[in-house]
Order: sequence, then C-alpha cells, then structure tokens
Amino acid sequence: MAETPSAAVRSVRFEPPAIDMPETGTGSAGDERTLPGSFGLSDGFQDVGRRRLAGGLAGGWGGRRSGSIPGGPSAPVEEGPASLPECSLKADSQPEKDQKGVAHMATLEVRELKNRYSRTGPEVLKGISFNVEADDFFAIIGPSGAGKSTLIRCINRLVEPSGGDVILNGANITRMGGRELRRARRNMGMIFQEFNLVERMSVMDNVLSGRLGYVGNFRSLLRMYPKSDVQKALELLERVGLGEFVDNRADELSGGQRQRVGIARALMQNPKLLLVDEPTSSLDPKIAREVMGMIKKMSEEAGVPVLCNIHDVQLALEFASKVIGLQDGIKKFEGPTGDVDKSTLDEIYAMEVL
Amino acid sequence: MTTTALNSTDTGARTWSRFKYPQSLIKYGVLLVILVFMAVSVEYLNIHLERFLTMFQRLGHLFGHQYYPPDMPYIMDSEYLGYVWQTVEMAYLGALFGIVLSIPMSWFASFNMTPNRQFLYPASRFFLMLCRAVHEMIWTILFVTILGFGMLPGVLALVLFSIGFTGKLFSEEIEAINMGQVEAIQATGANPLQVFVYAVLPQVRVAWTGVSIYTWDAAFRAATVVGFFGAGGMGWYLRRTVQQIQSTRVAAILISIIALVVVSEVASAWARNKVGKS
Amino acid sequence: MTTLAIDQKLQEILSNRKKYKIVRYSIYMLLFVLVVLSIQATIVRDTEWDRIGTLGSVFKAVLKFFPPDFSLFPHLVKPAIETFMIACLGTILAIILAIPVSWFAAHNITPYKPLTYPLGRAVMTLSRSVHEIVWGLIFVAAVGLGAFPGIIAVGMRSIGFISKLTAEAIEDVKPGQMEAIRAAGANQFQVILFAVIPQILPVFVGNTIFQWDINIRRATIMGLVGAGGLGLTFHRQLVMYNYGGVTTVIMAILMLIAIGEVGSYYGRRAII
Repeated sequence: MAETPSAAVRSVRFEPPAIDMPETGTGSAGDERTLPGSFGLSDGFQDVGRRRLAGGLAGGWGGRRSGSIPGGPSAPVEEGPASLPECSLKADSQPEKDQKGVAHMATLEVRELKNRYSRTGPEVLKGISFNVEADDFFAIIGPSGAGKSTLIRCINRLVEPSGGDVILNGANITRMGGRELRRARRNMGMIFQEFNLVERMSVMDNVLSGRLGYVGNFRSLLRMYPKSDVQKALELLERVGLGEFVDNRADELSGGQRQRVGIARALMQNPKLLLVDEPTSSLDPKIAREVMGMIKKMSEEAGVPVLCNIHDVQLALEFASKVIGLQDGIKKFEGPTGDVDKSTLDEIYAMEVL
Repeated sequence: MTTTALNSTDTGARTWSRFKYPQSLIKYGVLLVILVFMAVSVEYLNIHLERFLTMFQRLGHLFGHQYYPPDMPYIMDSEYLGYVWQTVEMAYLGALFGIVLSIPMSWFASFNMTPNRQFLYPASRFFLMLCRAVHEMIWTILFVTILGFGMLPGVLALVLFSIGFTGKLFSEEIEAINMGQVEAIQATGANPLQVFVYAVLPQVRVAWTGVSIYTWDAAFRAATVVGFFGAGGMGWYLRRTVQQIQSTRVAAILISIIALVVVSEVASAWARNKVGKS
Repeated sequence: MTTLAIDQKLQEILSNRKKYKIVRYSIYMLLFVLVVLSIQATIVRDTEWDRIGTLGSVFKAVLKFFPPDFSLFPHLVKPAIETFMIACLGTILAIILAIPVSWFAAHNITPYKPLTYPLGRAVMTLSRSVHEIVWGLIFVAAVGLGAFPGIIAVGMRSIGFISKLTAEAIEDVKPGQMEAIRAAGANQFQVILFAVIPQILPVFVGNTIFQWDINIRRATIMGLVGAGGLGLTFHRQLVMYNYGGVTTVIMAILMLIAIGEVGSYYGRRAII
C-alpha cells in the first residue's frame, strides 16, 4: 500500500507527469487514463486533512464499485457549456475508465470552494474540495457555524461562492449565467431543514413544483403540467407513503409528512444529485430515523448520489457511506464511514460536546 | 375536508384532476358571475374603451395647460393660511371628541365585554354602523343645512366620522383580549366599569393609541375637504376656485392639500411605529 | 432592611410619585386649556349663532327631514344600481393597478430598487392621501360628468390601501419557500407565482373585499361632484329643498351599505 496518493497513482499510471501538475493543459477531451489497479487503492485510503484534489486526481479514490455508473454519463466527457476557455480545468475532469473500459467520472466535484458573507468579512468556507461519486451517500458533519449549510447552498448557488469551482457532471456551475444556472439547478434536487413547502398549496401542487424548471411561464400560470409529470408525482407520493394526502394543504401535515413531501418534490426533478440540508433537525428522533431511511432508500432506487448536511452524528454514521468533517470552514476529515472513530470526531468537534 | 379527486381506473392506475366537484364549480361559478356583472355594468354605464384613451389625453391637457403653472402666491397669503390652521383645529377637535366618545361606544359594542347583550350591544353596533355607513360629506351637508355655515357642522361631522372609524377598530381590539385577566378581576367582585378599567384598558392601550393616531390622520384628510360643502377650512377655497374655474388656483390648493396630507401621513406613520415598539 | 431604611425608601417613592403626578396633571391641564381655546376659536366664534337660534329651532330644523318622502323610492333604483356598479368597477380597477404597485413597493421583490421602489411607494402615498372628492373633481374636469370619472376616482383611492397592506405582506413572506422554488430551477416569475402569491393571497383578497365595502360608501358621494349615482339624486333633492327626499336617499344609501356589509362578511369568511 502506497503512503501517499501521488505515489500510488504513479505506480499504476502510464502517463506520469501531467497528472500531478494541475496547470498543464494536456488538452482535449479525448484524453483517457486507465487505472486498472485503482480498486485496490480505495480501501486503505485515509485522508486526514491536507490532500488537495484540485490537481489532477479526478475520479473516485474511495468506495467505487466496478463499472456501475448509475445515472452518470457513460460516454466520454460531456462538454460543459462554459468549459471551452478553461482547457486546463477540462483536463482535470477527465473520466476515469474502469475495468470495463466505460468512462466514469465523479458526479460532483467541488474544488477550493470559498465563501464569505461580505467582501470584508471573514471567510465562512476556506477552500473545500471533495468529489461525490454516483453511488455515494455523503454526510457532512461538524459543529454549528462550521459552514455546512453554506457549503450545501454554494453547490447550487443559492449562496454565491466567492472562489473555487463546483462541477456537476462536467459542467462548471460556478461559471454559469442565469438561464444555464436554472437548467443546471433542475439536475439538483434539494431537501430543506424547514421543509420549505408552499403551505397554502396542496401536497400535489407542491410535489409538482419540482418540475417548474421544465415548464414554461404560461403553463406555470395555469398550472398545466404534462400528464407524465402528474403520474410521476402520484407514484412518488405513493412511495413515500402519502398517497392519501394528495389533495390536502401542505400545512395540514405533520413535520415528518411534510419532509416526505419534500423528498418527493426533490425527486420529481429527476435529479443527478440530491442536496439535503439538515433534513431531520426539525423532527422527532424516531421520525428522523424514518425520514433518513426513506431518503437513503429512495435515492438508491433512483440511483442518485446524496450530499447531506447533518448535525446528528449517530444518524450520519448509520446512513452515510462517506463522511466529510467540517470545522470552521475547513475540511478536517474525508473518508468512508467505517473510518470515522472517536479521535476523528473529537478533532472535528474540538470545541463542542457531542 | 376536501372532496378527493383521485379515482382508480380498472387497470389500477390512479388518475388525478385539479378540478374537484363541487368546490371548483362554486369557485369558477362565482368568478363567472362577477365577470358577467362587470361586462353588464360597463355596457350599462356607457363606458367605452375610447373614453379611456381620450382620458389620458385630456388629463395631460388638464395638468399641462390648465393646472400649470399653479398659482402658488394664492395659497401663501395669510388668509388662506388662517383657513389651513382652521382645518387643523377642526381635525384635532373632531378626532379628540370622536375618540373620547368611542371609548364607551366600543366597549358596549364588543361582544365579549359589553355590559348588556340584549340591548346595549345591538344598539351600539347599529350606531357605529350608522356612523360608518354614511359618508362624512353627507354628514357635513346635513349639519350645514341645519346649523348653517361655519366650523361647527364640520367638527360635528368629523366627530361622527371618527366615532365610526375608531369605534369599529377599538371594539375589534377589545374582542381580541385575553379573557383570563378579565376573569381574574371579575372574581374580586368588581363592577363592570372597574373590570373595564383594570382588565381591558391596560391590554388594549397600546393598540388603541396606534388607532387614535391613525384616526387623527384620517380626520385630517376629511377635514381638508369638508370646507367644500361649507363647513370651514381650506375646502371652502377649493369650492370657490372650482366654481369660478380658476384652474391655476385650483391646482395650487390641491398641491397644498396633498402636501399637508402627505406630511400628516408620514408623521402619523412614524408616531405609530414608535408607539408600536414601546 | 431596618425600619428606618424602609421608611426612607417609602418617602422616596412617595415623593417621586408626587413629582410624576405634578407633571402628568400639568400636561392634562395644558391639553384641556388647548381644547377649550380651540373650541372657543373655531366653533364659538365662527358659527352663525343667530341663524341657529335656540335649541328649539335646531330641533325644528331636524324635524324638517321627517317624514321621509317615500314616493321617491322607485326613482332611486336606477341610481342605486349605478352607485353599486361604480363601486364594483372602481374596485376592479384598483385591483388591476394595485398588483404592479404592490410589486414595486415591496423591497424584496421589486425589480429595480432605486427606481421602482420609490415610485411604488409614491403612488401608494398619493393614492391614500388625496380624498376621493378631490380625485372626483380632477377627473370630472378631465373627462366630463357621468359615472366614468366616478369609477376612476374610487379606483384611484383604493389602490393605496390595497397595495400598502399587500406590500407589507410581501415583505413578510417566508423566504424559505422562495428558496425551495428557486432551487428547483424556476425563474423569477415562477418564484413569485408559486412562493409569494400563495402566501399573500388571503391578505390581498381580504383587503380587496374590505375596500369594496368602503367603496360603496365612497361611490355614494361621487354624485356630489357630478359623477353619477345616488350622490346626484341627493344633491338634486337638496337644491329642491325636498328634505323628506333627502332622508329617503340616505335610507337607500344605508340599504346599499348593508348589502355591502353582508357581502363583505361572507366573502371574507370564504377566504379564510
């Protein structure tokens, strides 16, 4: 087992130099690297803090299963609309080819993400980098104020990052303008801590509002969604167990029920990624567990990776496959759930009592 | 309690429709009736679209040629300013007495605290409705007919206006109080007046102060115009200049009215804000 | 505390109270004097006391209005309908114009803050400050006599009230719902349609019904400046010195208002 990532890479790569030097524009979209041995690397990998993924180490270093790319593109790299001037970045998001030779790339790449509330204020996020694979259930844990909510919101730019990049399936979200951004947001479903349902609308209308990115202004006004959308909404509502509540007003539901409507709404978008912001903080412990289970189950069935912000560490460890620990805007830990032990938690929550 | 719009077809697939019977029928039926009524009204009153378009043209002419330039010196002279001061005084007195009289009136007209449900309650509610229903200008004209010109009819009309305005708002506040405090005072054996003073007034005091300021503002707005019908104040000048078609002077008076009312509105909004925060 | 200390404390409190009492009572005295002076200035001096004469003659003057002239009733149907229509159409006009005005005047969704926000607020303030009689005068001067200027005058007056409360409701909207709709990829129009409007709809509609009720009242006097309806009839009866007829018209007005009250009560119940 290699001690450093770069050494491990060098030991299996055929084209050594370009990989470690991020600025090298090794060029076109057709570049391919093969890492036949990378599967063996995944298990032993621990990164306690300083590893930078901003370089050429695109593609999963952890927990990647053979060949399956649910929901992600199996063709070579999709050209993001804004990617032409950034050849150097392009090279970094090359798809990795697995054993079967099918191109594979991380669903979400976050690089050096920074954020500050005001131009002269302190930085809330100080350069976060990580990748989300197509079958990950990523939990972000950390003390309050560490920037977890900000991080989630920077991904779909509900909050503007002040630096860094967010790349979803090869498309650079941070560089997008209005219309493109809205289209990109369609691919990211979001579940909120306070549920954020439109309270006076019915459950059905709330779920259908997940399709708003696909429906034009005139049809929105008349609330004329295509029939397939209505069918899908009914199915999703059945699966979250709310089939009886289709026409109730959202504010007639309990907290757990409302969050389930939120799950259905997020999945209506046919997203490539689920962003979940503290889904259980407003719920009782028992309901919280049910809701987390439902999120996990439905995201697995739909084949969608989840990036979940959670402050209940027990729940995180129980449901997530990978964990990121955030403290004070810095990523203090990243790795599979199995690798999280008491000392890691102590380090992340240094000032806090669990 | 909604009529569900889900059906199961034979194949087991569910269908859903946005239109629920009978709620949707009622909703859209009412909307249709309103639209038909509008169309009928437009026909009945002979309102044609062309009139709208010519209106803008004529408004332009009015403001550009007839009202401009406004005769500002006319409103600066001391006689007019004297009338302005009269208007302020009328508003002040009208609002003051209106509020004072509204206090017992709203007490009687509040469902939870009224001392006598059979007689006082309906009587006071009817009186309040009367005051509110009749426009202050009609009161003005009636009082002018009985009492002649001058400020007295104006003040009386404003008093009635204020009672109507304030009485409703006051009684709504009373109906929203916490009855627990009332019960506590009643349990000591206090009579209705004491209950009112010790249990109701402290609770409604802040809201009532806000309403009083709002009443003064509204009374002032009305006071600027009561003079038009002979009740004293700057409205009288307005009438004279309108009848003599001295448009530039009309413009000047309108400007003075608008300016004063805007000042009063801003001042009252600020005052209500401060009261609300206290 | 020792008894002496308690005594001292008591004295302190009592003397403080006395001071406050003096201040309060002097303010009351001042107000009272002010009121008396105002009454003296405005009413006592300005009124034509000779014309009023004694209380008895006042009573006789009031008596002139009774009995009401019931023969007038059939002639009141048309003006009453006209007044009702003026009120309804004026309210509709106010609704149509209040939508953009409250959009502009809400600082969280106004499209271009330095320009549209003050514009919206200015229109609102103007609409609420100017009395409907003044609006009536302006529009009668602009478009002539009849129901049309009355409708516009009533409408202009209502815009301010409806949009003020609606704009405040928009500013109080829960931002989380807007966030959720935006996160699904909706554009600004859809965000407003789905996250803002459902939240403010009860306020908007409730206020509109309330204004409709008040507008019936306002429409009745539009005739006094020539804008049609019962106000015109009122004026005519007055200049003919037919005081019984005046009373009849007032009764008709009351009936119309009663209809408005009933409609407003049930309408607002249906919204909630």
